[in-house]
Amino acid sequence: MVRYILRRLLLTAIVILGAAVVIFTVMYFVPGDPAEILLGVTAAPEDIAAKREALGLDEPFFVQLGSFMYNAFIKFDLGTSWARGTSVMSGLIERLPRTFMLGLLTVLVTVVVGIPIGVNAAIHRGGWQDRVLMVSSMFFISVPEFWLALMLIIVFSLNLGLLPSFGIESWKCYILPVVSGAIAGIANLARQTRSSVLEVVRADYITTARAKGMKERPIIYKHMLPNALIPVITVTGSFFARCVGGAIVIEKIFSFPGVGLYMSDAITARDYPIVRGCVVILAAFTALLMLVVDLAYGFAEPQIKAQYAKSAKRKGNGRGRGRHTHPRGRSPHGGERPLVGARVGDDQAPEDEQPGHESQGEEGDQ
Amino acid sequence: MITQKTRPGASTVALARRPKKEGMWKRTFKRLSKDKVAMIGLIGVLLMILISILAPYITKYSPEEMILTEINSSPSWAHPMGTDALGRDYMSRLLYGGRFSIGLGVSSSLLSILIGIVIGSIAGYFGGWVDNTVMRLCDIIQAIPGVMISIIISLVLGTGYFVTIVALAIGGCSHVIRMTRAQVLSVRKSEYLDAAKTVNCGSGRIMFKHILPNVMSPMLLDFTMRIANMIQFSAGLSVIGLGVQQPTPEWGAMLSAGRNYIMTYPHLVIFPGLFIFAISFFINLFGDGLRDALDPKLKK
Repeated sequence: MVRYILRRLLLTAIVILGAAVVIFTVMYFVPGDPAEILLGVTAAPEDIAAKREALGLDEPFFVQLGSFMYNAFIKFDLGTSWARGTSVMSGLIERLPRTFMLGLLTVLVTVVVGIPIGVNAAIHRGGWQDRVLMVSSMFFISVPEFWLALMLIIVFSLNLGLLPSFGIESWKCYILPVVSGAIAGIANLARQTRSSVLEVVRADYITTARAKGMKERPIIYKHMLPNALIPVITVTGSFFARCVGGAIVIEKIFSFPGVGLYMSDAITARDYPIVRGCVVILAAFTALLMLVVDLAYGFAEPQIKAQYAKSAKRKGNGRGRGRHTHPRGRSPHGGERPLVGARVGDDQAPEDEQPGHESQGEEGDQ
Repeated sequence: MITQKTRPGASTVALARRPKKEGMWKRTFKRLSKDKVAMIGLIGVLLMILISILAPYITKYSPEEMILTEINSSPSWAHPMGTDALGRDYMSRLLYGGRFSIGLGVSSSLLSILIGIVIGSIAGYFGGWVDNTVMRLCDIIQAIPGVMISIIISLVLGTGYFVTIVALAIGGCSHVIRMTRAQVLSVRKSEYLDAAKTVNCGSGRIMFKHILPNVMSPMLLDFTMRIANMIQFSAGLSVIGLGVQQPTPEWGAMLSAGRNYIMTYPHLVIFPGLFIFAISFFINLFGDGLRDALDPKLKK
């Protein structure tokens, strides 16, 4: 297990560094001369040349990349904003907690509401709870997030005047952004929970528990849920990553002073060091979060531990089944986007499974 | 269980290896056509495509025509969805907008799937260091949130319709690469490919006749679901000031332009959002049914 953790840590570090290189390289090709953007089109050519030299823009690409990486990862300095003249890192440090707070609240609401709904639907499969969930979840998954946000503003801020539509002065300011972020998440999580519980319902140990004469309630709470909720960790983790990484639109609409608004303002002002810094930080955050999810998954799911211990011996296994594979055929990185990865409607009997096709999905990468 | 009861002879048919008279697609479609909800979705999608194609016959206004006496008018008989800040009939803009929005969704999904299939199958087919390089690159790209990739690519390429299609496609292709590669890998070692090789099947034939059809069904599902996501993503980009911008009558661009008038003329925001919602809803309904119909567990 220690080796597993160390390996994952190393991989995450490489991924973060790689992401920074990719981001720097792509942003290097953003058209427009930074010196000209800074000084305005009317500036004298000599001034622009001097500014270029001061910014280090006349250096070759690899030198610029090197100094960016050195500053970012050794000195923790993501450069200076062109328009504001302030350090990007300090701007981020000021705003990151707010975005995290918003993301955490959204995830909290999603989990507290979504999981019980999904479990309830799975237990009463075919009943009204189930049907209401299946129909309404499709509805809520399809609602565009920012449009919902705007509709909430129209209803609750403009017409009813109950809730503020911008700012972070009081707790009330968080309600609308959280709700508009959480609605689709709740629908998605409830569906995933439902299908995950349904998969467990058929398991042999549930049949055994029933055969022992166990009451239905302890079966649900002691046997079904702990097992069924393991895959939900992944869904929740990637939802959190999406909340923070995709906060830009919601923050823009609610003028919420987080990383997203910082970034979208910088896009408008063509203040590219800020944009670059934000993307690097968010990528690092996503990579770290995925690491945490993987580790949590590893601890919660004994089969992964066992598989990893075995996988050293099983190298060269032709099936392409990686160490993350576990009997339910789920990958810890599944569910990056809503719906894809959700296995709804698992009404088929397990014996229908065909061995040759069980590794459909994103697993199989080693 | 239910499916077993309804089609009692299914497993014996498979065992008897009846010559493939009934292809996978036909069976999928049969199963799909029994799913009422999926059919509602399909009809809804087709209807929305139809009204955007037939837009010139439905409304008498052109999407660019400015009626300066009727700026920002609220919905009325003459203009069922009102007019915008330049006096353009909003309904005709929305109907014509379907061409742009659905077109954008379809083409960016298609492009991203194509990129993904090419790179993914190269990685899966060649294996070794090619595979390793591609996969590590995918790891890296997947760490960057999808929206952010589309944003920085839009920054490089600028705003506009076709540019946005490319930006969205690149933003979403790492998922497809992974999927294709996993599919190719899982298929590559299967017995029927060995069988195909023993009967002296050429590698082109193997690729197109044996590997691709097996890789296709999850791709089709991904493609369907992706369309709705892409339309919503592009609207998100428009809100940030990238992506498609006015005067293109694209739903996302209209929504983001209407945002400035939310206090006074909420219909400018409500209607484009409703259209985006409707197309996503229908696509999701259809896609959900398609997933059940294509579920590999059901494959016989």
